[in-house]
Amino acid sequence: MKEGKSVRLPKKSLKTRMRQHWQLYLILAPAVIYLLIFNYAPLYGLIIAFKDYKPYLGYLDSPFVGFDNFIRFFNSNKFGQVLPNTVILSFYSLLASFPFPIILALCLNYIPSLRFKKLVQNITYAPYFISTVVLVSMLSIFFSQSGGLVNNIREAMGLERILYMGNPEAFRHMYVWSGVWQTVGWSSIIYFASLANVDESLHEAAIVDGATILQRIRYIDLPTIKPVIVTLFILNTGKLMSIGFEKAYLMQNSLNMEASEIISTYVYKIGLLSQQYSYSTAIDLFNALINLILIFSVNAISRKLSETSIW
Amino acid sequence: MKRKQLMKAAAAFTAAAMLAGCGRQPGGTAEGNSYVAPTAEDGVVNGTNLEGLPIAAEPITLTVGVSASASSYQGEWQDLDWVKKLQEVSGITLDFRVYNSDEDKNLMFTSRDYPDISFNVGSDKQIQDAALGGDIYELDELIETYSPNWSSYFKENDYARKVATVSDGHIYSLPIVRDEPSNGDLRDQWLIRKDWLDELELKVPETTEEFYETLKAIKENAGTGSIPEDVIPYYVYGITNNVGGALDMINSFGVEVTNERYLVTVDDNGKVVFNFANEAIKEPLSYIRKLFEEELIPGECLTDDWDTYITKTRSDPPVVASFHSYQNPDASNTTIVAMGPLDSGNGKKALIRSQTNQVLRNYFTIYKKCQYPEAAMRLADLIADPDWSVQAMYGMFGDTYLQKNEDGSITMLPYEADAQAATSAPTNRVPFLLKKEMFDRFTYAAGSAQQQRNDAIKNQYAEHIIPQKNLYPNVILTTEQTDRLAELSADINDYVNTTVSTWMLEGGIDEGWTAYVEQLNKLGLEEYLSILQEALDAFNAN
Repeated sequence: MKEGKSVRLPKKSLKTRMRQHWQLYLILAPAVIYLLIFNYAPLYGLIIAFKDYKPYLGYLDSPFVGFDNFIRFFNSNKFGQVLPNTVILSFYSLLASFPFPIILALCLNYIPSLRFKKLVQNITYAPYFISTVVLVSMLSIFFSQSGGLVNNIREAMGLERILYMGNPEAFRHMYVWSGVWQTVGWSSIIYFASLANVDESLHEAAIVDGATILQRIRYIDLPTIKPVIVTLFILNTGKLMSIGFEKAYLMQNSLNMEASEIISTYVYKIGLLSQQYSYSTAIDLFNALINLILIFSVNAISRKLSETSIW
Repeated sequence: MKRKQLMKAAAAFTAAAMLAGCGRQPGGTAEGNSYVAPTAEDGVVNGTNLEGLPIAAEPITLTVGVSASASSYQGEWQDLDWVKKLQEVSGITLDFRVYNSDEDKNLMFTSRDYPDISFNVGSDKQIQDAALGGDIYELDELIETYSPNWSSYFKENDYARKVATVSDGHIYSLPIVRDEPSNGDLRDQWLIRKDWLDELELKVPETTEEFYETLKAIKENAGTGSIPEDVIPYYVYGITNNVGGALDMINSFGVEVTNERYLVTVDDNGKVVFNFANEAIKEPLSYIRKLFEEELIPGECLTDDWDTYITKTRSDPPVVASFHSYQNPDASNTTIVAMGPLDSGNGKKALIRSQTNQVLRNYFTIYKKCQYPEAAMRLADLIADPDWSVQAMYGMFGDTYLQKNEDGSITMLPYEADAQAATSAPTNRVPFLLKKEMFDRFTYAAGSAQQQRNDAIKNQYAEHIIPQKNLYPNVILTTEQTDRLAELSADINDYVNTTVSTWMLEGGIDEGWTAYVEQLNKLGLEEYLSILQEALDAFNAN
């Protein structure tokens, strides 16, 4: 494709542009400086992943060991366990938790009573403010084998009591669905806000034409908020591998270890508790690399399929 | 043009990186760690009196790195009576820097932003790294010159000297010494509710068979008398946990297992033994499996956390009939009594665990930035004085905690057992020196945890305690050994825990045994044991 000549402006140097629009650059400056200092500058610490870091030698003078730390991780007994666990748990989390906020927002959008709508919104996003420690305690109480709510219901239905907290198969479901419960209201806010931008006249026209609510959702609401959905999906993919260690660590016990040992809990144990900084940095860097690959691929796929992408 | 801009951006970026990286001094080991004594004038060296009190000849302030209180009822460091008195007597002002978490401590060692001295801060690895960096004093010379208490103790007690000495032959940190029989001679008491046994007209079980029958009787009588509907006949906090676990149940069968470190024991020839891979452990494991199978132990206790263990074993009204714990929650020793270890009938002597925490390293370190190493070491010597040490552990002399009698003996006064010296003493977080002799002239208060343990040891356990020589001692590892062991023990201990716990719930010990041992070998059990053996041999030869 050839560029149209008409809109092409003469190229100015950065300096000239900065002088002309200095106000804009001034507003931009704090964000750029913040990113440089807090997000880019610390990156140089990553070099210890390739070194045998000793605190007394410092980042630069510690002996260089190349990819030894990575190789050690790939050869370690836990590698075959933590990598699949992390990937499965992350994808399951992402796929399970993604549709619900959208569904919730769509449902709320069609509720005529404003008070009821507000009430439901408040109730659904309240769990977001529960801290992880409390959430895990709640889980172990609700799912307790001896007196937990869930097992009481099972017993009433004539089923046997199950030790959920010690069940590796149950671990992922509990982890993911408690997460869905906790974040569904909070995540729906953004969809709810973008649904408010849907052109009211489209709905009116559809109603006149006799469209059902489902048809209105399908042909009006969803296409309007599609860019938001895609953008959020890509952003969530970016956070995929960085699932927090607290919840998994707190829910972990000797019985569910085979499912609950993920990269971040392993890094915590081996790196921070036994002070192997280089090794844990290497593992985390590896984790971040996978993440980067994922976000690039999802972005590319989405650009192909839906012509929406972050970059 | 564009390239130039890029260069500029890169330059700015580098500058920012340099800024962010500052605060990190280059590692210089020029002066090393050794201490060179300055010349003394009129009995004063570097602002420190060589003898007598106060220690400080001029106003001295030391910053002291300490760990945060382990429990909420313990007061802030600077508010403790013991600390106030120590400052008053020594003339040294202590400025506490509290490290709340492992992360905080890691940060202190990696950023090399040290206090002047530290008490219970620093792992073996951190101390050894700091020594290599020339950041801390080698204490040998300082101990010799300024601390008669410690230098004579290390001469008379070779074990303590070995524990404190790093592989390069020097001492970089003073230990804490608590050679108190009521503490070290026993790990957990095995407790059972006597009142329930009385109601059922049963006696305290003495064999594993009787124990099984007793638990069954308790379960069958749930809801009768004072036994609650939801009674837990036997509660173990996991299988392999050092505190509250089922290890002493296994020891009852004469299969020695401990888990202060690494799940290993030492046989009479000084060889490291890993009994969790020993065929003999199948018998006790099968027995415990039977208790799980018949729901005499709830499966839930394998997933419970520490707080749940404490809550369940100390609930009011009680729900647990038998459990393992350091302290008997019943001060009167009548409703809950000590039992076990049980005779298994397999011909082996029933055992119960003791501890190796009499001497623990890394409780007192002097950093090179400290301007008054002499004063610091004399302060450590003062803390090691028997009177100061005992007050650090059990509270100040006076009419609340301890009473010092005219003949030099010390009597513990009755007080709320749980609030043990809470606002008065730092307890076992300072480098005190409590030798065994101290406890020959020490009388515990009736109903205190230590008195109960003394009684339990004397009346119940004395014959059965695993001797110290069979426990894996507090050896010092090289940094390489530490790193390798951290990984191996994570693999091996996790695997043992998961497998054994699964057996408890689902059975299959006999069928799964061969595969289990094979997997342990695959995980590097041999290397694991050889590292531990190597470290033990080096320790013994030291």
